[in-house]
Amino acid sequence: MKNEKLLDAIGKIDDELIDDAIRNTKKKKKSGWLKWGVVAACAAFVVYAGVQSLPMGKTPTGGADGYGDLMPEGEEGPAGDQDALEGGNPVRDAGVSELPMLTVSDSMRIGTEGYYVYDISELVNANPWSEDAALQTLPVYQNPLSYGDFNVSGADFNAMKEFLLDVAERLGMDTRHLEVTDDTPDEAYRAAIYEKADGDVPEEYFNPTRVIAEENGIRIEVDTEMTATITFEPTRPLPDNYHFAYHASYEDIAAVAGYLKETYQDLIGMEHPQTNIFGGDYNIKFRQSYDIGFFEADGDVTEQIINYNFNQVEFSCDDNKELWLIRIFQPDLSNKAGDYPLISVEEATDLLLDGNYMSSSMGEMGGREKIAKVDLVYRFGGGEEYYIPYYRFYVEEEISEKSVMKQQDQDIKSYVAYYVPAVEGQYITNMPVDGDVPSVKG
Amino acid sequence: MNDNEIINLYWERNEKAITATAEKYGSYCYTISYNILHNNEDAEECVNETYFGAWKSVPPQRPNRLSTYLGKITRNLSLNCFKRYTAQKRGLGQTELVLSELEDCIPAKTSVEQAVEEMVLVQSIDQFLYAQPEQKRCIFIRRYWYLHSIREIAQAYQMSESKVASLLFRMRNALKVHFEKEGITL
Repeated sequence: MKNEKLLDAIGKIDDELIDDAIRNTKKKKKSGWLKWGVVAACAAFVVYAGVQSLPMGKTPTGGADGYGDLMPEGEEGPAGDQDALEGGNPVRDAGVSELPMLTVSDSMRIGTEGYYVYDISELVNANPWSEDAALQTLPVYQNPLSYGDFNVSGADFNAMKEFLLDVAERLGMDTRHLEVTDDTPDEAYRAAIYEKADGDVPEEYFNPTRVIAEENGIRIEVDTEMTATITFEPTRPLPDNYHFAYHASYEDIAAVAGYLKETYQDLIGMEHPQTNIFGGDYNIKFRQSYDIGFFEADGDVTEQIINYNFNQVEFSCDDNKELWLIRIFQPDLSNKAGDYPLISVEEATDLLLDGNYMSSSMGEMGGREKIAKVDLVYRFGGGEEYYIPYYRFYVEEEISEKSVMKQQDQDIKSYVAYYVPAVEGQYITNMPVDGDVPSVKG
Repeated sequence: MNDNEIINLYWERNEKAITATAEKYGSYCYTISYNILHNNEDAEECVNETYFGAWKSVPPQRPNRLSTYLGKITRNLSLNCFKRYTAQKRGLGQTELVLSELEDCIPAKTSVEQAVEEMVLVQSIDQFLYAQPEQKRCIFIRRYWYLHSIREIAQAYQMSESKVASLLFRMRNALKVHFEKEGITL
């Protein structure tokens, strides 16, 4: 069997590769060594002679990788390093009572998150969450980035570069000679800024914010939030039978999605990519639009929810209906705060009606009868300290009679998003009140 | 006891070599075997056979890295044992899954090329792996040499399981492309 032959051949790779693999982990922590009893000197011989077995008889339990607490002590070993192997779950393995308190962040987003549709059913997406999933907990992650007045700190530029090179490989680019730069301003730009600000510019203002590589008309940028943006110059046309446009119909966009899924499968790099056609709301010219994304559908509902919210690959067209831009989202989720217990949709609705929500709405929140839809999403990309799941309520709001939309079509409706933390309130230090997020002191 | 001292015991035909090996690497070898076989008794037997295999081969061998030398013996013995398993037993553990995944790496067959010798195949895999970024390389080896589960790898690298699965999926495809470019046929 060819796969067996391959598995056997892999068994014979360089020793250095084998050793390095078991040494390399995300973080190295001291592990608790299990003490194995000393084995009788000739027991192995005796066993082989068919007399008796060595007194092992134990299922490996050690560590996240099965080696953590089975490693021999001493300066040598497969890694020659006592810290080499993990012991225990490297993710912060807190019981419910040890879950850290969370702070809800005021979003740095601007504008109102509202949707114009005739019926809420026109708003579509492939969100894998449903109330029927009856999830008891969901993970919360701490954002490794900190946002100052002039800069973002905590970014891992090595990881950004590695991600960029990975994306380049997936695009079929030769990465051996690919030059990766960043957006550190040149001297001329600095001088211009100093002049404008009369010299009063903090140095961190000029810190780089992204890594960049460009070759043969493909430009890849990876920013501090680990979003890779790929642009094409010239843009890439699709075959004539595909209508990839801002206001293409759902059916046309679905067809385009099928083409992109096939054509860019290496870039998408998912074993079971799930198509996410999202949007369906109308602009002020009453034109609907849909966007295309893909997320990994492998794994249980929780994994799918994480992939949907954090790890999509999205495709965008330009005015000429050609493929212009691709975004790949891969935020750093390595700092897991824990798996937090969730409230029900009904409990969240009560909180919503009590004013415990975040929203960009400028008006009063209507009553229960104005709630049209609810789903569950994570908010990220707006400077959050924690990536927390929220119930997102779509609440109908009155459209002013003076509104251009209303004047053109009385039947159009407006729905604004209201967010209620889906995590039990006991874990939140600053539950929103009356639509505002209290600041956290200290 | 350091590895050189243990190897010297083998060379001196001192049976304490076995004790020392078992004490230092018994658990390591057992874990490798258990990952493949998912059976205590068979894993123990493979580990014991490993000691005998080391005894028979050292000398004349003088391994540079005793750990991987033993690990390779254990892995080979365990995979041979696995091949004799019935269908039911084969379904336990990771081996069947790993074999299924490795189907993705098999290059397209041509009518002209013959299957390469194992040495050439191994060298090609080495070349492919050394060209990978460290983390991707190590994740690949953890999965396909050590037969770690996706979950174990995800925990070790603090990644989601689906991210590990996606990464491995892309690497398997990349290995297949590498084989095809090298003209490797299995």
